Amino acid sequence: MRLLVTFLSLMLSVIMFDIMAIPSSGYALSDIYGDKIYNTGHLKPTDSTLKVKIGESAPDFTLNAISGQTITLSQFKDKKNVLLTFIPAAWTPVCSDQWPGYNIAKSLFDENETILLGISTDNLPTLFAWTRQMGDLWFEVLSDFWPHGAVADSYGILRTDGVAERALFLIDKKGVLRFINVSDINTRPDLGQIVKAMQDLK
Amino acid sequence: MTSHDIRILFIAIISVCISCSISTDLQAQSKEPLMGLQLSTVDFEPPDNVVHQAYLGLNRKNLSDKTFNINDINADVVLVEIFSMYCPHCQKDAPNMNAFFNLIQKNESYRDRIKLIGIGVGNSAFEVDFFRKTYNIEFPLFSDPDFRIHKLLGGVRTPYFIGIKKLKNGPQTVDGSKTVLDNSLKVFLSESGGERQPEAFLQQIIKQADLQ
Repeated sequence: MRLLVTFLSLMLSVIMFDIMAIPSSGYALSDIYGDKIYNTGHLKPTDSTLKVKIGESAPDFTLNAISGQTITLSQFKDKKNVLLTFIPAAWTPVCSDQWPGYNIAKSLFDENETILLGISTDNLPTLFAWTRQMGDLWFEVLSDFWPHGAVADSYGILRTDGVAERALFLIDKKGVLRFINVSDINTRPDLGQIVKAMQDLK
Repeated sequence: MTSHDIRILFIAIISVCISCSISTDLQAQSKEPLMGLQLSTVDFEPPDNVVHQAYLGLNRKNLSDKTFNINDINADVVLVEIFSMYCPHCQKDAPNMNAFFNLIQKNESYRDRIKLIGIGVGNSAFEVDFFRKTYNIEFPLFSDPDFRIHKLLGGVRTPYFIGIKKLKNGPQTVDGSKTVLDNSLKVFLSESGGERQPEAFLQQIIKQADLQ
């Protein structure tokens, strides 16, 4: 009898697992990546505490880009607005489903006098190989690998596992933070809200 | 064995059956997402664009109720492209899909029989509209911002094409165990994309849908 009850409990657990395992995708993976994408599963939505606020000066940084350039945030001061797009990790589902969209939206950034900088805590070779899958990106992709995640940490978006949050920071020409969005890491922010934030700078 | 024990044993067996059924269904979704018929259960909001309304052949009731489904589209075949503005293949393939649409529109034999729509999965209305403007897409595009339709289709990769043919035996709605499907519709194409040559794709549709 006890055996039966144990068996029954086990089966109910299996049923519950099945139901919980029904895919709840927050992305639609492009066929272009083949079987190269590592499925992270559902992650804790956010795992850090912001260290910056709207109205404050954006922490300055200098990072290397996959283009071979060295980019310093303050080089754009008095010239262009800057949108920082942090993504958690190369070769993962939602991240692979984000920057390719920005890649067809150059006109929207140009219209709003905004430079787009992509940042990840992955190293340069990894970022290079991954972004090659997306075609030719028009924006700079920067590596915050070493000191590991130092820039992400200065903004307060370095997660406890060493990757950045999925976060956006819009900085105006004076170097002041004007828009911050830290998304649920499992979902991609809407392009519409980015455009609105850029338009609100005018 | 008492009657109580038999009852417990019976419940256990039923539990195993249900579990196996769910597991098999999930595996089927992930391996072979031939779930195009599920689209017949999806309600779309009619497009604002009157040219698109006319193209789809929506009636007054569709417009006043602000809802229609695949069966309301005036065509023998509805080809659905599952796309995303964030998908590099979809971006690259957009000019081919425009050429494919124009090829159908110029063909007097098929322009009223084959209708094309796109569904931007995980794309907001803004993102779908931006994709449409970027590539000058003339066929109707719809937004699936919360991945509702995408989940219904088993989370297919993009681009993905589903060809649905309306059968002549009239609508006979059946109430299945999971959802209500319409057996007056037949899925004749369900496959992932990549770049497609317009002429070859049209011939494939005509052949597979048996439209000749």
